[in-house]
Parts: sequence; C-alpha cells; structure tokens
Amino acid sequence: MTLPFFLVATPFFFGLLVLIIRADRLRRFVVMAGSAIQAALAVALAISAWPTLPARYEATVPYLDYLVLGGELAMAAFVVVVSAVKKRPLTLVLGILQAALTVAGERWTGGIEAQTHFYVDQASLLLVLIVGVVGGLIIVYAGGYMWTYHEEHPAVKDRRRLFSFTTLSFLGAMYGLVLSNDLRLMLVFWEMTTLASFILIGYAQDEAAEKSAFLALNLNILGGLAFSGGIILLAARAGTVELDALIGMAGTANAAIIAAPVALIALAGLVKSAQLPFTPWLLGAMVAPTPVSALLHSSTMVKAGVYILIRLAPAMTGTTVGYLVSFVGIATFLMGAFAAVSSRNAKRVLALSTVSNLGLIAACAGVGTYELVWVALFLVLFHAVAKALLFISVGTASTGTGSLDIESMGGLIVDMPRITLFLIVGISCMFVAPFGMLVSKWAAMEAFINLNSLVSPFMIAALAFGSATTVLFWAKWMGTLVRMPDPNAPRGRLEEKVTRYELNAQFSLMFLAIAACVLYPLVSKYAFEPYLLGAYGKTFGLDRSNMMVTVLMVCMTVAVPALLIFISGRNRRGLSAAYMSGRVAGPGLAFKGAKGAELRVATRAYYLDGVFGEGKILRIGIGAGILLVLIILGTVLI
Amino acid sequence: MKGIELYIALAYVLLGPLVGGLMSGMDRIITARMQGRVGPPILQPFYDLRKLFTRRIAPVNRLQIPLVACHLLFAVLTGALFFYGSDILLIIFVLTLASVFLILAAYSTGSPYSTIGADRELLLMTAYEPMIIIALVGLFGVAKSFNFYEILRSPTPPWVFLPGIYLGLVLVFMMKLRKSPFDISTSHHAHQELVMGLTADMGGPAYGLVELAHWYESVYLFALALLFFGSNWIVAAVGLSLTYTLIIFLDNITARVKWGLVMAIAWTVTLVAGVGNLIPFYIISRGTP
Amino acid sequence: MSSVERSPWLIHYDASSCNGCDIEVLACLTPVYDAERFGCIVTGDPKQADIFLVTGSVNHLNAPIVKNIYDQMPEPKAVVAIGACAYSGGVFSECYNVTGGVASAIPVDVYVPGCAAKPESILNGVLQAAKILKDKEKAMRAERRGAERRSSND
Repeated sequence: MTLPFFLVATPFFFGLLVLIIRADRLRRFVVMAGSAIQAALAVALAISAWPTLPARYEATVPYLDYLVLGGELAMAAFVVVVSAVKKRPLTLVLGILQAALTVAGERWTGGIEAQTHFYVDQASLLLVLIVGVVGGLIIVYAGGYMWTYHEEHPAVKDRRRLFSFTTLSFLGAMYGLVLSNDLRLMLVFWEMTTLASFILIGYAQDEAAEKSAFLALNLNILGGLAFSGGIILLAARAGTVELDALIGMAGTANAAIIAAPVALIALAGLVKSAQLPFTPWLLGAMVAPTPVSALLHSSTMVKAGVYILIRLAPAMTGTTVGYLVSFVGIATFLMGAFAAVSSRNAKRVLALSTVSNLGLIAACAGVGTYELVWVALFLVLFHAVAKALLFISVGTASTGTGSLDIESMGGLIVDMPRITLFLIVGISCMFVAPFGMLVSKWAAMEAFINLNSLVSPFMIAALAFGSATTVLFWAKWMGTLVRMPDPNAPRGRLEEKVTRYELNAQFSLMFLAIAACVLYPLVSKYAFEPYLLGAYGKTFGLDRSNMMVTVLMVCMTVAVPALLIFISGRNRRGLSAAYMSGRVAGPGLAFKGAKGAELRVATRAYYLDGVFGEGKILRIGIGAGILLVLIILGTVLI
Repeated sequence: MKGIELYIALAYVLLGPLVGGLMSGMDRIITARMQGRVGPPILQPFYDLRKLFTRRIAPVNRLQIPLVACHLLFAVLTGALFFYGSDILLIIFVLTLASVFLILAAYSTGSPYSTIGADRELLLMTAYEPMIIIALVGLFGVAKSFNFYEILRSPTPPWVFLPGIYLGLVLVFMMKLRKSPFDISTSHHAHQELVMGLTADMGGPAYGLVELAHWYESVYLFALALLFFGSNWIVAAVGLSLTYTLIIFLDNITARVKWGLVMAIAWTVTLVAGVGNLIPFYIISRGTP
Repeated sequence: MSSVERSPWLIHYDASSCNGCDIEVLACLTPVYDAERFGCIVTGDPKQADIFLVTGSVNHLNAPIVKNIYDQMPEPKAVVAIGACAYSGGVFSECYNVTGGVASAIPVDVYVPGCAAKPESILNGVLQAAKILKDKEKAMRAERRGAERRSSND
C-alpha cells in the first residue's frame, strides 16, 4: 500500500509546496525536483510491483468514505461558486446536479465497503509510467516554456504558482484515477482532473479562454454525472462498486445486470476522451498554453477516458454497447482525420489527430477482443509519447515563428533545425511505417480481419480511408518543414531563445519515442501479453518475424537518412538553384514580371476546404455522435 | 522453403531493374505503335539510365540526394520483402514510406513546380491508398494468408471473387505508373504539365535513382496483379497483358483529369468497386469455413 | 562507350521565332519523322536535358532567359540553333531589339539552316549534336581522369 499511496500523494505535496513559494527560480527548482521525484516513484512502483502483478491494495486511510464524499462536495461547491461569479447558468445547474447526485449516490452506496481500493496491473502501470515519465518531462518543458510565454504575452496575469500547483496536483489525480479499483474513489480523481483542466484552460483569463474552459467544464461534468449514474446503478443492481468485480461479471450469467452501468461509465470515458459528439471541448481547449495541451489534452487526461474503455473492454466485447462505442470511436477516427486536412492551425491539427487516434483506441476497446485490446494498449503508448513530443515542439516552434499557422513553419529546417528534427521524428512516429502508430494500425486491421464479424469490412474500410487521410495531412506538414528556399541562409537563428528545459524535454521525448518503436516487441512479450492472458485467458502477439522486420526497419529509417544527410554535408561541388523556369530574378525564389518587376514566389500546401472543411465535417460528425449517444442512453433505459 | 524465397528476393533486387526496364521499353514501343510511329529500341530505357548517371549536376540542397536515395532503398526493400514472403499488408506501408521520401525530396527545394508536384503526389497517395488496402484485405479473404506464395497457391484465383477490386486496382496502377488521366504530379516527358512536377528539380543521377525506383515498383505492382490470377500461368499471362495494354491504351486516349477530381474519382471507385465487392464477399464467405 | 549519343534528351525554346521552325520541331515527333526512334525525348526541364534546341533570334529580353536555361543544363551539353533567325537574326537582323542569332547569347554547336528548317534537317542537326556530345563526354572523362591523376601525384 505504501508505494501507490506515496505515488498519489507526492505530486499533491509538491503542488501545495509550490503554492507558498514566491521566488520564481526557487519555485522552478522545486517543480523540477518534484517532477523528477514523482517520475522516479512511478518507475519504482513499476519495478517493485512487477513480480507480483496483478496486485491488490486496500487503503488504510481512516474515514476514507467521508474524505471521498467531502472531496466530491467541495468540488461541486467550487463549480457552483465559480459559475455563479462568472454568470454561467448552465454550469451552475450542472454543479448543483453533481452535488445532488453525490448525495444520492452516498445514500445508495454508503453501506458498501470496497475490499480493493487500488489495483495494479500492466495496464495501470502503462498509464502510471506515461503520467510519470511523459508527464514529468512535460512539466520540465513547462519550466522553460512558461517563462517565455509570459514574456510573449504580457497581458496575461502571471499565475505561475497556480499553474505549477495545478499541473503537479493533476499528476497526483491521474495516478489516483488509474490505480483506483473502487469506482467512487476513481470518480473523485476523475472530477479532480476535470477541475484541473478547467483551471488550466482558463489560464489566460481572456474571453476565449473562459468560454473554452466552461465548455470543457460543462461537458466533463456531464460525463461525471454519467459516471456517478453508472456507479449508483452498479451498486443497486450488483451490490458492488469495484471495477474488478464489474469486469468479473462479464460473460457470466450476471452479464445483463452490468450492461447499463457499463454503458454509463463508457459514456463518461467517451466524454473524457473527447469523442464525437463531445469533441468541441478538446478543440476549444487548445487556447491553453502548450504544456497544458500536451499534458492534459493529448498524453494523459484524455488517455484516462480511453483507459476506462480498455478496462471495460472484457465487459463490452460482443455486446450492443460495445459495438455502439466502437461506432462512435471509428466515426471520430474518420471525422478527426478528415477535418485535420483543412486545418492550418498547428495545434488544431494536433488536437484533431489526437481525437482521431483516441477514436481508434475506443473502436478497438469497444469491440474488445483480446487482439484489439493489445492494439489499443500499444496505441495508447505510442500516441502518448509521440503527441507529447509534437505538442511541445510545436509550442517552441510557434514561439519562434510567432504564429501557430503551419505555413509560417515553412523552411523551419533552416531556421530551427533541432526543433524541426523533433517535429519530423514526432510526425513520423504518427503515421510512417515502421514506427509505432503504423504498426498498431496494421495490427488493428489484421485483428478486425481475424474477427470475421459483420462489422469487419466496415471497420477495415474506415481504417483504410482514415489511414490514407492521415498520410495526407502529416506528410503535408513534413513537407512544409523541409522546404529550404534558401539553403545558404544563416541557420538556427530562431533557436537562440529556446530554453534548455524545452530542449532537454524534447530531446528526451524524441529518444523515448524511438526507443518505444524499437523495444515494443519486448513490451509486448513482458507486459501486454501477460495482461491479456490475465484478462481474457488467451493472448495475442504479432508474428515474431514481422515484429523483427519492423524493428530493423525503424533502425534503418532512422540511421540511413541521418547518415546520408551527414555525408552530403561534405559536398564540395556547391549547390544549384531550384527550378524556376526561365525568367528568374536573381537568386532566391522570384520571377521577373512585366517591366522587370520582381514577383516573389509563395507556395502553400493543399487544404481542400471544399471537401474536408472542418465546419462541415464536424457538423456531420457531431450529428452522428449525438445519434449514437442517444442510442447508448436508450440501452440504459430499457 | 525459406531458402527459395530468399533467392527469389535476391533475384528481384539484382534483376528487378532488368525486368522493369524492359517493361518500360515495351511500354514505349506499344505507345509508339498505337500512335503510328516506330518507337525507340526496346533497350532504350537502359540507355537513358546509363546516360543519366553520367551527368554532372549540382544538387539544389543537401537533402535532395539522401532523400531520393532513401526512396530507392525503401522501394527496393518493399519488393524484396514482398518476394521473401513477408506480410503484404505491412509492406504496402513501407511503400508509403518510400513515396514519402520522394515527396520530401521534392518539397525540399522550394521551387513552385516541385512543391505543387509534391502536393499533387500526396493527393494521389491519399487517393489510391484505401483501394490498395481493400485489395489486400480481399486477397486475404480468398487465400486466408498475407504471404505472396500462399496467395499464389490459393485454390481459386482471387479475380473470380474480386473482379470489382481488381478493376479498382487497375485504377491504382494507372496512378502509380504515372499514366494519363492520373498523371497529375509527374508524367512521361511528353505529357508534362508542371515541367516534370515532382521531379522538376532532379537532374542527372537523382532522376536516375527515381527512374530505377520506378522500375522496381512496376515489377512489384505487376506481381501484386499476378496474385489475382493465381498460379495458372496462362490465365495470368493473358490477364496481365490485357491489363498492361489497357492501361497504355487509356493513357493514349485520355486527357489529364483536373487535380481536384482525382480523389473524388478514386474514392468513389474504391467505395463502389472496392468496398462494394468486399462486403458481399465477406458476408458470403462467412458461411463457408 | 557513349551513353549520351543513344539517349539525347532535348529541350526546346522559342526565342522570338515566328513559330515556323517550332512547328517543324514538333513535326519531328510525329509519325512520319519520329525522333523517338533515336531515343530523343523532348522535355521541358533543362536539368534533365542534353541538347538545347533554340529557334528564333535573340533580343534584349530573351537573352538572359536563353542563358538561364543553358546554365541550368548539366554537363555535357550541346546547342542546336534552328533556322535562319537563330543563325543570324534572319530577316529581322536589322531590328532595333534583335542582338543577333543564338550565338550572341550562348555558344552554339550545330546550325540547322532553313526558313523554316525541314524536319529532316532538324533531325540531322540533332544527331550531329548527339555526336558532338559524345566527343565532349569523352573529353570530360579524360580531363577528370587527368585531374584525378594530378591530385594523386601531389
């Protein structure tokens, strides 16, 4: 019990400590130390718990139920107060509903004692390590980024103490969420992450930030209400509030009892991971500073949503709810990919890609066979690392170029070569064979084929179209980055102001991303396959020789271009100009126009607004999402 | 059995350009005859390649040649893995990687001709990739395997069950082989729109590498088509020759399609001929073990 | 062992021609004359071309363009000036804007006479240029070998 407890408590401790330190440099040191310590604890838990997985812990905290109830009510009160002050009637109503449901829940579940409060197995350890290591690195990054942020945005009030407190406490809440087995406990941490997200999205305190923060709050409280409803139903019908008990009832004679609770909790998961129709909250959340987008809205918090879906997978497989969840997921996968094509805002593209990949994870978890859960776990791993890398690199890049427009990153390979390298590795990890995400998508296709169900051809078709679309928008971005209009321009001039915190975090994440792609067969063999064996009684792994092929190819894909580009630096013959037809105006990209006027060339990528226009795509997606969610709610009521 | 497959893969690596070059030569002769001309000697592509590698031209930037070399390397690797018997679904993604290298090489120069060529090449890739995936899934449905040799040995030739998918694949070939009406990014020299588009800034050895990669790819693509005809050599020969001639014929009689229509056409064909073939086949084949 | 002679790739530029010679150049690609028999391909990209076909006279406006295209071509390269205008300016040689034939901008290897030049002459000129390319290539290779020997002797 000790180690999980310390893991949850340590970030909170450091968060509170940070609140009282006024001196900026000292505070930053404490934040870095706290980040390192919590990461070390996460790794320590993983190593120490390894031999005896799955491990069950009972919390020996006195008056735990009162603490949980108190926490819930305190958070509801906070919501009510904030929404009253900011004059948001909808949120006010939702806050009151939340409080009401908490009290009602207490009446229904108060008598039930949980036997296992914390449950540690390979899946929870995966999330623990992601929160600890990736989250820790993002906090390191924020240590540098937030200082530059306030220089660039002097109008924003400097609330870095609150920022550090919230991000650190958020890590603690994530640990609690991921390790909880008692669903009431999980709900408290779940709501804590909602509040952390609300505070951090609204960091800039301007109109856009406030609007986005309240949208996120509203939708996530709705998800929390669904979660509460699910717990109450579970307690009423099955007399338990524990997740492992819930999953244990899957496939048995009791399966019908748990269908409604599973549906409601799955709904909460869909809200948290911004699946259709709830996607707008994540898109709006991109107004937050980049570390927030990286930490909450791509790597960790939204992963909590799909984490609960993966946990519930054994209970969803083969059921109506499961198929509905997977339809929501695959629809989000497709719509997210389509909408990303027409987006010029870098963070928006990343957000849509995140939602799209989470949709794929949800689709795998919804169908829930052991093969697809293997795929889902790997998607979580690869996506968390690659997206974090991408977000923090984009943050630095946009500070350097002064804009989040992808077109402003044209030729970034000359201006910010190191950041461009991080971006290219991150983007490659997202869609290029043989890196992780592609291997997972390939495995998903194989798994759907082997499923031999009626949904298979539809899923495969959706995967095919979605996969092709991701190539389009990622490769487009990569191409913009490597455009070298003037190879002789002074290199790296925009990188001078990048702090070492940012560079260290980015470099570490790049290293982690490649390591994940190379070492994944080991992760499969020693971590995920035992988990599947435990949860399903059978296990799945890709063919060993295929895995070896991909690992070798990762090494080739990294080493060969690097080597060749290094060698090409010794070219003594000089460079020739790019082809600009006949009537050129000197070096650089310009034509001679009428009367000798110089016409500079400006190129940009295709955005295909007519076909993939975001507004149109999202409207269709949200409509489809609402329909599916209503059907899911329908199954609950029947 | 692994031994033979290794030798075939090696043979592909060493002799692939020979076959690819001869195919390219045949292509030019057939095109010329269709147009009432005599056409070049059949070995002309090899003369062209030899000439390209003797050119001396400074690259536009230091990324160009490494990226094009990686394009060639991974194109060869794709085919080699294919003939070695690896999972063809995985391999198609390696082909995507090879194409991405070429696209990046074109983007890197900044010239508007190569940039637009690269944009359009990406459009083409997005257009044909779903169809290829559906085709491979269809092959698996018939042969229950992703291994080249096992699919070849399947009792019923796949084209019997998957005619729609095969037609969709012909569309894909037209795009990959840079044939009208889908030669929007780069094309044969005589049909240029963007002054060689994708390969506008590649002269001499760089262009030679691209040509070589193209030949390897053509061999690999026709081997993929071969899979649809199974191991009956006569049917395969007839089928492949008809396909080849049809593609050349369409190249000669059509004009280039507007770039905006490419994805619409390809995805419509994919949905109707590809998915429309896959779903009934899936439903019917579920009944049989 | 000549590679260029078997595969001469052409780039064609109309300097200020009346299009008469240009039509004849295009006629070379048609069935009756069929330049592709000799491996000729007309490309628009100077970076992939070996032989530069220029028609029409050179004037102040197109002189830098002709030079630009010539400079972008890789070595070894040859220039074929087609028609009377390309040779000396033809009937326009006295005009105020005409600086002369192609030779006033870039070095020319082959002149094809005529106004308009006949396709057979043009083909003949191209094949002559291919032969000249063969010699240039040999010279280039010899010089390179000489340079290598000199640098290895140092």
